Amino acid sequence: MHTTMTSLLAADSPAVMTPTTPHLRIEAVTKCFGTFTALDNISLAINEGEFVCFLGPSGCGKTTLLRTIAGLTQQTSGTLIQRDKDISRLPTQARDFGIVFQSYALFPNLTVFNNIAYGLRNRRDDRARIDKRVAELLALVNLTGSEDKYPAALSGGQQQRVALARALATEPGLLLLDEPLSALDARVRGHLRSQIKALQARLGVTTIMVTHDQEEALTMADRIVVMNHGVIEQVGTPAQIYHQPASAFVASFIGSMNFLEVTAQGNNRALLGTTPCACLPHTLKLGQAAQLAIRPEAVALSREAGALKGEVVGIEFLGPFQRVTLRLTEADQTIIADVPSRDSSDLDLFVGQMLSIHLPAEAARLYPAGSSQQ
Amino acid sequence: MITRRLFPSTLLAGSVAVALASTVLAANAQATELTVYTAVESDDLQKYAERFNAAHPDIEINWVRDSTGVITARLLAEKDNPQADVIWGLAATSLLVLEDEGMLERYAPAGVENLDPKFVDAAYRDGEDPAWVGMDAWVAAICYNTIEGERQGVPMPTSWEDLTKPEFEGHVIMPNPNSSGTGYLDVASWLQLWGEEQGWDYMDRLHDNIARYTHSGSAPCSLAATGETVVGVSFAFRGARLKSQGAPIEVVFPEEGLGWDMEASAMVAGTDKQEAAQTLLDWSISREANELYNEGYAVVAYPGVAQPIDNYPVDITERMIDADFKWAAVNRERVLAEWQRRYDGKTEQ
Amino acid sequence: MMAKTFTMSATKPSLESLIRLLALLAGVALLVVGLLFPLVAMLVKSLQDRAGDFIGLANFVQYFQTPALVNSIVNSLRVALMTTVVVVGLAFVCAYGITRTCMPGKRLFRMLAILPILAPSLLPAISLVYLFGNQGFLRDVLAGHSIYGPIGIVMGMSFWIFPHALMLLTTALTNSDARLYEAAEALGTPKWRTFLTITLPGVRYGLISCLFVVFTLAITDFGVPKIIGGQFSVLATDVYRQVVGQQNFQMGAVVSVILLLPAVLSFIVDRWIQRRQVAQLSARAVPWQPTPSPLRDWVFTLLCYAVAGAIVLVIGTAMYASLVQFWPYNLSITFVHYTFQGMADGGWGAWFNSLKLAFSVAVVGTLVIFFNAWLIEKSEGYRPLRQGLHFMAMLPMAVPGMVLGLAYIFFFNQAGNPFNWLYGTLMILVLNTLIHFYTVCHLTSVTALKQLDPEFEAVGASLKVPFWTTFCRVTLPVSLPAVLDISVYLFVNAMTTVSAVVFLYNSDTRLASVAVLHLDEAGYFASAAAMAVLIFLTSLVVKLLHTALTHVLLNNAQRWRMA
Repeated sequence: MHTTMTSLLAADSPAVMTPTTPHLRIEAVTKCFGTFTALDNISLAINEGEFVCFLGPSGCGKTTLLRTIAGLTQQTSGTLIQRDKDISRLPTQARDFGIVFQSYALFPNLTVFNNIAYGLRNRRDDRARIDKRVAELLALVNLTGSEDKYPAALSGGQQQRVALARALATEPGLLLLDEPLSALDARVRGHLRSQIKALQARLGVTTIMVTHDQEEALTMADRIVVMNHGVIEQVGTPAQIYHQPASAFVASFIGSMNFLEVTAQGNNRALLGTTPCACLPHTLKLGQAAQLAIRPEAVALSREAGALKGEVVGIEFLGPFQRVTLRLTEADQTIIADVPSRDSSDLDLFVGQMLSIHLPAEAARLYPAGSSQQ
Repeated sequence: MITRRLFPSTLLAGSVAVALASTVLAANAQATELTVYTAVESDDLQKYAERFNAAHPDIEINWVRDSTGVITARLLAEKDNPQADVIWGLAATSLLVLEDEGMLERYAPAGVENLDPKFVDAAYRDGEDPAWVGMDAWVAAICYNTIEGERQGVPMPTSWEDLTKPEFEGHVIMPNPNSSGTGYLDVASWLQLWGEEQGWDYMDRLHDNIARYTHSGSAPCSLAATGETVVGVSFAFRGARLKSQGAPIEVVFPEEGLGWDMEASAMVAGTDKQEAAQTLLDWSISREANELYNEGYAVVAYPGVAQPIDNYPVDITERMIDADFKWAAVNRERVLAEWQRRYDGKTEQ
Repeated sequence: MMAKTFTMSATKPSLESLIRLLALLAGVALLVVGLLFPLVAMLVKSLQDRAGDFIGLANFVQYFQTPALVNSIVNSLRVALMTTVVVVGLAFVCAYGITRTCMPGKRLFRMLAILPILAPSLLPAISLVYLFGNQGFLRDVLAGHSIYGPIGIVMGMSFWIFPHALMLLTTALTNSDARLYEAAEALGTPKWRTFLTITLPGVRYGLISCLFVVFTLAITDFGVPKIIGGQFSVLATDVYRQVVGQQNFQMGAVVSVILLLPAVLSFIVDRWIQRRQVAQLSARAVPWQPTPSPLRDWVFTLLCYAVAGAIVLVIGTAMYASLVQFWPYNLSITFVHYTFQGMADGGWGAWFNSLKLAFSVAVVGTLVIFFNAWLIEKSEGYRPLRQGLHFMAMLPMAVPGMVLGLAYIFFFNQAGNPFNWLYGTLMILVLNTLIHFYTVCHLTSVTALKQLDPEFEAVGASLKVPFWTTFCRVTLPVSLPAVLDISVYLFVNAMTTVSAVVFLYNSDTRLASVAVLHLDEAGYFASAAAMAVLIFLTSLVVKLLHTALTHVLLNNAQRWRMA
């Protein structure tokens, strides 16, 4: 009965769901632990089939939000709606999701087969069906033949794939991944990252992944939700998050970023020391202290004369590019420029060299001073 | 195959077991269980039960045994919810206390008229049913370890007074009257023998020589028997028995006179097994029972039964003081409180 | 339509959470009836006169005006502190030897060191009399001091408390992080500084906990001072004497309240310190492995085996004492003392009662305590209930056996109490013993449960598997070693305990441990030794069976455990 209900829902969903009815709607969710506010009035909609990452530093509330969705933590206030169904007060058992934890949480005393079949057994599926489904899932995660192994006999990456298979076994409408790759070493992580992403795309299961690893978020997510101090800082595609950070926090959290102390001028200008610079339009007041954010790869260096000059104080060779640290002559500030290796020979870089610095206006954003602190 | 072959025998064994069990259960179902509280020396209890059961196999005795003070305490504690049906073998002084609390059911056992009137509740003489009936007298005595006495230069005492002499310092152990009936009969007899003032004065001096006070009345004699102490103030029964078991002790009956108390029996008020309790009490004063008591005690309630026994003096009856149990019962709380105030520091826990 | 059905069910609590709630309530009820109510009854009793009228603190005033009674407070503190110093000192050295050196014969030592736990605390006291009493073959060691008194008490207590301390400290010292030691070595830190700055802080929690446990055990112990205390009275024996010897239940309640204070105080201190503790050991810690160092290893071997020798000597003496015809005058060997002539119904009946009790407590107690711990640890919601249950589960550790036993009389023997029918049955002994030893089992369960992945229940729930299935299929099997430990702990303690049950036994339910006490009281010292040895051997056999069973289970589990 249960089985049919789940699959029925799953079968119905493409027809019923339209872009205006997302898979999951989080409405004004707040969670307090005593006086500490872990989630502060969070609202978010997650679309059917989408891969969303909750990204942020530890303690930002991303895991609490995930656990709230799973019903493992009860929100203080707010509503959760999954496919038009209010699940706000439902116990975990009554919600429709599969979950994978950082620790894998595989049952150590059960074989791989029994771990994956754990949820299927309970539905009183007949043995043949279970066998078939487990075999399918093992093939899906490239672990065919490991049925009779115990988790302890598997590598971390393999265990996490079993955990993934177990979570997917009951065909949940929503897949929750709680830092699934954090416990793995870098090589396995990179590999599993693309595997999970491919799997998700193939199954089309709506997925929420919590991570503190920006690279993971950027490579895997359809959309990223950047969180800090219990609030959402920005929601957007990886490109939006990277290229158009909505706040100094997002700008600083994702990728490398120069922050230069400036004074805001007219709506697309700022004053760096006494040197005027162009930037993207901003809404800061004239004369207000501000930060000019620009990514190192956008900073252009040249040996020709220019308005802004700096002295090279450090050069790091990083393979595809060289990271050059310069001290501005104008103000006592440093700036980092990433120079592609093939351009660097033109510059003939050496420490102590004076270069002119060009800050392209389309890459320079202005934020209020002091707002980049996390 | 194997299963089939095993099956009949398993079945057989099973049915035998069931049959046996049901027989046992049936036997149990017929027997009345009596909970009997007692302070009788534990090495004799099994014998008591066996002799009684020889006459009345349908009544099963569940013994609860402890020192006199403990059993008295338990009975008082359970006053609102008595667990005992019968008390068989507890100091008369304790039974008087219980009677005072209204915890005893008056009953005149068949043949009570045959007993020495001293051994029956005084109310019987006034025409009432007695609240308790006596069994035997248990008499104070001193156990003296001859080997240790010689080795440590402690002479054999002949009187209570001897125990206060300097050479006995640290070599005397006696029971705590708070827990031990023997201990209380010692204290009560000294106070009766010499009067309160002199009695307490004696105990003050004795206290200086006491190594420790024990929980039970037997222990001092046992400790003397194993050489842990030289002198143990105990009672005749225990001394005589240990001596016959080969302990190097002499049982000393002090010349000033012997304190004693009576072991007695009673029915607990409110028992729902009156009939069985009456049967037990009837038997407990029978000639046969008194012969049983006489195996350990020289003085018993049934006149003409007592035969002299090993390691007891023949003239023991004459040497027993004229004990006033009523006095001992009425003053029990006061005397014990005073004793505790004076000497409690040296009590064995 | 379907959505509507779902929405409606959203407002109803699920069956599972209802069952969980009921289970929690049952757990709370068990501890309320088995612990809180009796304690309250006892407190009330201490404020009443004999007639049952409220008289305020008059009993306490009387208590403090009786020097003989007040003296016991000082005595108790003195022997408890001395015992704590001796036991924790010795146990630390031995635990260090086991965990941080390459001394040979570790396994044998651990086996020998655990033996005292299997004996009633009356056993060492009896042995010490044979060893150091007036006829004892080692009496000259005491240089004229009497074994009857504080010396005997401290020695006897040290004997039976030692294994508790050793286990706690071994666990604490096992949890080391080799990386810290490597860092210290790389920095050229001298050994003593490494010890002070890494080893000691690392075991700080275990050490404090150990001090607390030892002190509480020592101040509440009844068996040792009862047998060997001589004229030296302590609080636990005062309770017994007031109640049993003097029929003064009110004063017994007063002494109980006073005995409760140091135990509760050390309990609070321990809780407070524990709350300040943060997990020191990160998941990435690498266990430290000792490297051979001949001098150190042999010194520790010597120390450890000296302790083990003392333990074997005490047990051996009890066995010898139980076999000697008539100590010290007839040393021929006999089994006559094992017929327990000093006991009314033969001692074997009492032994059988003890077996029944121990078995019942082991089975019922293990299931109840482990399940309750699981409810506390692994449930979401009902926070106040779970915290309340946890708090009550911690309390029994602070309640001395004497106090609990007496409290049971006051509560269960009240006319009109709906649980009155329990009084005088084996069940009340089961309940009392279960509650008496609740805390250690609870903590063992909690520790075992904490070691499990915290997300097992979440995974189970997400797969729509009811919690009891996950409990039975995963939690219980994975925790089986701990569960077996708990059951054997309960079994052994039910066999050996005397303090609480001494007030509660009945004619049908007299226990072997109580029989030891009675035999000793009545002067049947050899039979008392025999009964104590019998208890010891029973516990030993059960312990060996447990070890074998655990071995088999672990071997079977090896496939998945891969330790």
